[in-house]
Amino acid sequence: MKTGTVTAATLLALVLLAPAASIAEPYLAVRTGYKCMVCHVNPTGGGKRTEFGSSYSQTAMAAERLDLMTGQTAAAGSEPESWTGKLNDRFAFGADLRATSQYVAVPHDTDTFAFKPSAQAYLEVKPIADRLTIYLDEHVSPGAATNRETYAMLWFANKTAYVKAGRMFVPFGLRIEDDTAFIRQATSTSFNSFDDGVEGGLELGPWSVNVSVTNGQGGGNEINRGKLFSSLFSYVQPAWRAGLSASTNFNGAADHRMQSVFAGLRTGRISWLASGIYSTEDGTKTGRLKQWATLVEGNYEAAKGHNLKLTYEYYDPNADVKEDQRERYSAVWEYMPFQFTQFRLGARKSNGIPQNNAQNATELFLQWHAFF
Amino acid sequence: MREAIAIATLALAACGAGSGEGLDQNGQPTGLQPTLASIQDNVFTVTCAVPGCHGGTGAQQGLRLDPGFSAGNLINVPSPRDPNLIRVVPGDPDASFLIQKLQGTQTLGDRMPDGGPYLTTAQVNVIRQWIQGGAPTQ
Repeated sequence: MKTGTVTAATLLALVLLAPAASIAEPYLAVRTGYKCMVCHVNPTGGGKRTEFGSSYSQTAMAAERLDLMTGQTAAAGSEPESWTGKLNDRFAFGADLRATSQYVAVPHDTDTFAFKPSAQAYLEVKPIADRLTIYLDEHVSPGAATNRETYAMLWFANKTAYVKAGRMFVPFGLRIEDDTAFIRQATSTSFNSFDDGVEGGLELGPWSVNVSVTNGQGGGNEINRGKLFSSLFSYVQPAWRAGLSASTNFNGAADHRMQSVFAGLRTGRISWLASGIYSTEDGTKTGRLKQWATLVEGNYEAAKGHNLKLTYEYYDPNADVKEDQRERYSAVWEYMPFQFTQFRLGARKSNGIPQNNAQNATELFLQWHAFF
Repeated sequence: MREAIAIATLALAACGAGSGEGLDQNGQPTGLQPTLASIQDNVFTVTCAVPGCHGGTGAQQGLRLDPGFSAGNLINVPSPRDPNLIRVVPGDPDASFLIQKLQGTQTLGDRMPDGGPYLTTAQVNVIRQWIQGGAPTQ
């Protein structure tokens, strides 16, 4: 416990004392003051970027801007073109490719070093501009292709309300990029978790409301009449935001309920994220299982194209069991040298119960993230 | 503002990881747990289901507590001596005759295990917890 406190204090000191900088996901929204829907086709974030989001990544996030025709640094004062994956007014493509090399050291076990590629392809079709969108998000590598999202989305009321139907990521909590974060694992709301159903939303000024009803089977065959109800409420201001989420999934025999509270704050060059989740699940071997997890993250924009992300996470996998808690510290440097290319160099240290080696692993990784 | 965030961050960091004391490799507590399987292994089998008491075909009051028999003889089953006394009422340990007999608050018969030594309060509380949780059989 003392070691954890000292480490956290050190990380925090680095965040607060280092000179100012940055890139990525919800923290970018906090930095810019934008809603998720400004930069992503999906109003609740993630997946294909909008035309604006793609342009923003090219003009505001990259350390250097290259001329797309020559590959050379764009001349000072010139305005090189952007390429957003847009084919015409009806069709647009997008993709994320992450090539990761990962080293994991587990106490009293064999260290591993692995290459882990991952790729997603997106297709956005807009038969009626600003009204009707047909969207596909396909995980194409590694392994067999897996459809993550396929939905039709209809906007109305001057694009302040929408309804979509199909397969989708259920709106819940803070949708950060790291699927291994405790707040994502404990709620099973990662980018590998999708479901079939309908979602409706309101985008009224600073307010966002998103509500979904889905099968609750993670995209698998429906086996009962129960449904997963999930909701996301957020209030966005230029320098801060706050939100609440709640969901319940009754599978016919047991109820699984989750709540989340999250917030973002920009202080100078640091964008802060904080989130806490609480989950209860009935029908387990030991009766009701209560879990909670938290995340605090600081993103420091050291210079254009450079972001230092420091994260602390805490996880109690069973609130009725003492001394089983886990925590994790992460430090990730994200560097975007030019358009469509980001490198991520990171280290994560997990601390758990001493008798479980895997819970005390140390991870180092280098990732090349190519996207458009 | 930064100071407030720093304090909040440190407060969270101070939580730390668990020591793992009393847990197995999977983070599950060792010893008696509020599950039927654990109660069976740690209480019923070793203390109750013995010949002449609640073990075998001649179990007292028809309450056989051998593995595989406990749930069917306890949950929502009335005592043959007083049908108003239900041995285990899922979700209500105070109303469960089993708890009353283990605590010594019963209005019928003797406290169990007969003649002692009796279960500790901690052991009884675990059984209460199992009942409070609905007395699941899995």
